[in-house]
Amino acid sequence: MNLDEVRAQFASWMAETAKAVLGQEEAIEAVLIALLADGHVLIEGVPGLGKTLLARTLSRVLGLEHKRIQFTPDLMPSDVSGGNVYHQREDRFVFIPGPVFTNLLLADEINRAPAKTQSALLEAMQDRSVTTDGVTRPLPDPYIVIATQNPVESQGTYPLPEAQLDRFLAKVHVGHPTPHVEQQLLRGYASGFNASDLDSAGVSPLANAETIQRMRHAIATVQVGDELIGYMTQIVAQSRNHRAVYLGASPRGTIALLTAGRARAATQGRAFMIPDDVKALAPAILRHRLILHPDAEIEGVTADVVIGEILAATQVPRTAA
Amino acid sequence: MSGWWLPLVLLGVGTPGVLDEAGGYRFCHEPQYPLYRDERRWCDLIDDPHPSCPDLPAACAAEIDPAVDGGGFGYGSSGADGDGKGRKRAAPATGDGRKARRERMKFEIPRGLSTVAQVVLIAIVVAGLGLLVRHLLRRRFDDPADEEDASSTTEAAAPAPAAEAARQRAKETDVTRLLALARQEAAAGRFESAVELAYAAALRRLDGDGLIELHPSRTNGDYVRRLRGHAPTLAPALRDVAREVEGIQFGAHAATSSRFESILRGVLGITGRTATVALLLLSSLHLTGCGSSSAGPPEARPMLTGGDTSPSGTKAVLEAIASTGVSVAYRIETLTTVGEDVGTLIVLPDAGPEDGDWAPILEWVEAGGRLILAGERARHPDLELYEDPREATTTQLFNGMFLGFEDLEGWSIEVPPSGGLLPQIGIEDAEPSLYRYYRDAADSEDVSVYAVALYRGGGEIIAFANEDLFTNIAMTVDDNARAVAAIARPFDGEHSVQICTAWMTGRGSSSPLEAIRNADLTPLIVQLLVFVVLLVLYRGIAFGRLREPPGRSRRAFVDHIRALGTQYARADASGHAWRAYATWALEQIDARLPGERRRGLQATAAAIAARTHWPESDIIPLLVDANDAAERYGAPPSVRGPVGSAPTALEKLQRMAAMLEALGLSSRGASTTTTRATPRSGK
Repeated sequence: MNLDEVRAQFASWMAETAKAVLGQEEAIEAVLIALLADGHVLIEGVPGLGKTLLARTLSRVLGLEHKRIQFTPDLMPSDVSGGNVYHQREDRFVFIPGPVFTNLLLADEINRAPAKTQSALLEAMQDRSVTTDGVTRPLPDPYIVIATQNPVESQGTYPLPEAQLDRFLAKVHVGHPTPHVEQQLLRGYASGFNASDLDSAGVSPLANAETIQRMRHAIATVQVGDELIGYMTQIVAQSRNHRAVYLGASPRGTIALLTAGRARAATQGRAFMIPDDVKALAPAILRHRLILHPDAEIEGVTADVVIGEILAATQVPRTAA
Repeated sequence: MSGWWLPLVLLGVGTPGVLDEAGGYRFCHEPQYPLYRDERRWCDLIDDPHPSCPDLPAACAAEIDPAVDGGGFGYGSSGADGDGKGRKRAAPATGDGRKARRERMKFEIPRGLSTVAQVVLIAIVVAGLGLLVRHLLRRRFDDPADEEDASSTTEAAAPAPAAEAARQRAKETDVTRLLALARQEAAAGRFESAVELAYAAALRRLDGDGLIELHPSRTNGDYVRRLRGHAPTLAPALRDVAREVEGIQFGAHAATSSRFESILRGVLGITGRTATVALLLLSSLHLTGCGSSSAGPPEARPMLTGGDTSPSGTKAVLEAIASTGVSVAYRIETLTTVGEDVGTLIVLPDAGPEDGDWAPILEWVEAGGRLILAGERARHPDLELYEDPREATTTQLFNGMFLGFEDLEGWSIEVPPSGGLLPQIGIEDAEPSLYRYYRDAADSEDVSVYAVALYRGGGEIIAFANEDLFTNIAMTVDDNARAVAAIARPFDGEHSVQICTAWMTGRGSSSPLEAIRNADLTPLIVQLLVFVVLLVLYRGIAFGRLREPPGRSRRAFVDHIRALGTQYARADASGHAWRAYATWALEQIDARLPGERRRGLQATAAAIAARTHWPESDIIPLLVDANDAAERYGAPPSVRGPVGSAPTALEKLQRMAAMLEALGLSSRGASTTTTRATPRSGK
């Protein structure tokens, strides 16, 4: 698959997803880029904005096997990863795979489960494998976790551990739609659209696991110049030195910038990465990797504000200005 | 002489109806309108009642106003002196009057003030030159140090490649110089540098036009997105150019001559469009500065109808001519040349060529033009006419004397008695058939010749003894208006008619520079230019664009408190307090009831119940919660459990404090707390 085909395929995914998810083009693009970059995505937004619908639609469009876990406070790690169960007839323990054994895992309201259960996802997300009773079992390829969480409601929630946050390649904010988009939404529902039935929106699979693998191979050919590597490291380094930041982005964040940037370049049919790729993706890649000082948070400073300041203070390579 | 003068004596019938009240002809509609003495000469020819000028007879019958009689401007100053010497106005009264008005309206700078202005101008120029010299000297003497610094920096750093040098030169803000540099680099075979310079030129042009704002942190994508909002038509062009440039800068695309040419075409397309806008702006300025006198063909020009509506004005003349469908306008250009689009030129007194050169106009007449000299005394051998010294009481027209003016036959055309004209050549030298009418007129004792005509080449020249027939009040008499329209009508009826007046002709401008000169604005413009040059020298070229400083919003105190509360809630501050207090409380219970907790919570609860008389069923849950909280005290946020509600934690804390009080312990530990909050949990 060449890069023009990648671009065409990506555009068709965007269009197909937009049939069911209206007015969230930026979020859809960020999620798809993260998926192509072999990363996991955390979608954050208040209830009712279509986070789950987005994940379900993507799984349909990508033609992947998908499973969904509704995270609750009593969810156990074995409910996620699976476990050994005694089989009476065979007189032995057999492994019953959990929902984690799928191509696309939708972890709905991930911060509702206790840390122990959340941590069960750690190995799966990072190593693409699950170890139970000393036996390591690989997960299908591709393996993608799309998690959602609600930023407002904090009672009875378990904040995601920093280590687990770092394992998400991107954190995407889903915002309220504009009145125009909301009108379109209502018209769609008035004419029979049902969010639980994607067939009613005419969403059909456009890819499969093999397609994604081929696209990833094509993305791997995208060139990255030394100047861009310098640009990315400069941005990440500044995130560690910013006055409002307690803990900056890790090298994993720098790598995420690189992989996501290459994916973005490929989706635009480019065989090379440009500064715009880095700048466009930096907020989604870095916002969940920054821990701010309490006084900065009290002053209303957010990670997005810090990233904006960092980007505005970092010189773009080969600029004419 | 290439033709012959023909005598014309006018006689008319009929009355025009063009002097309506809406046109501003007050003399027709105000019975007390003050007429000058010279204007009163027409009163004998005015019918009473007058249908188209109803109040003019009353104005004629009114007594002469001393305020306007014989003084000021207009006809009163000359022309009606009645000295009985033939032509009563040696210099045309109308022209003099208007000249006087023009002179009076002209703003003159007091002599003293003008001297001061000159001194100020010289001082500014001298100061500017001084600053320029100082600036140059400073650069001359500062440069070596700068060069040393630069060289030392260069030595310390790695040798800069050509592309880096090009990027440094791309800081140049002048678009033309950037493009020239790009071409130079391309000619030298350094295409990568050339591409960067050309692209920089495009960005600088857009920045200069205010469409984007260059900043080192902005990417090409930022600029394209910005253009989508401000200049949607330019955004695709910039995007295409940026793609090609980025392919060379960040991809493996080789910088070749063809790629440079392609990029340069795109860049020129961008800079050209902004140049087109600038050209349009300049064009509009040109039109603003010069009026519409020379813009486009005559039919496209707006007719100038701002003529004087007084009895001695000419607005009605213009309207009478225009009513026949002929394009007519006052001429504001000088009479140095006459365009081919002009069919008839009516020259009023003192409106001839400023340089007195009638040759180009005579050439135009020979090419088929009709020149009407209405009282204008042309100083040219072929045009000079003698004044008829005979006194005359009336002026008449012998019908049908003009070739092409057969329509005038039977019309009544009248003007007040005045001096006449004599052709320069003798009658005996001319063709008898052509001078028949003149001879008839000349033979009459009480009739003078009012107008003569001269055929010249394909055109003709008609000279009138004065401009009386070409005034507003003349249009009220008999068939004068129709006659004027017929006489002024061009041969083919398609060319335009221009009326030359002393107060308007030559006052227009054919170029911005001429407009500035005519308006006496040259010193002001020069001073402004000097001021701008000085400002540029002082502040540089970037002084022009002002930006609002970013505003800083201050939060109210309550907002800080709310934010602090939110942070405490997010950080589970009440849970933290409960866990810390529970840890301390259990330590206190251990000290009070040694060994009980080792026996279990049930035994501890029993011991506490025995001492406090609290129900054991109340004590056990409290101890279980406290024990659980103490176990998780100090754990990282992600493993210390769900965030509970603040009221629950505080309620537990208060009940524990009450139980400690009942147990005889102090519920408020002072310095006995054994644990300290970590920085992370302290939020």
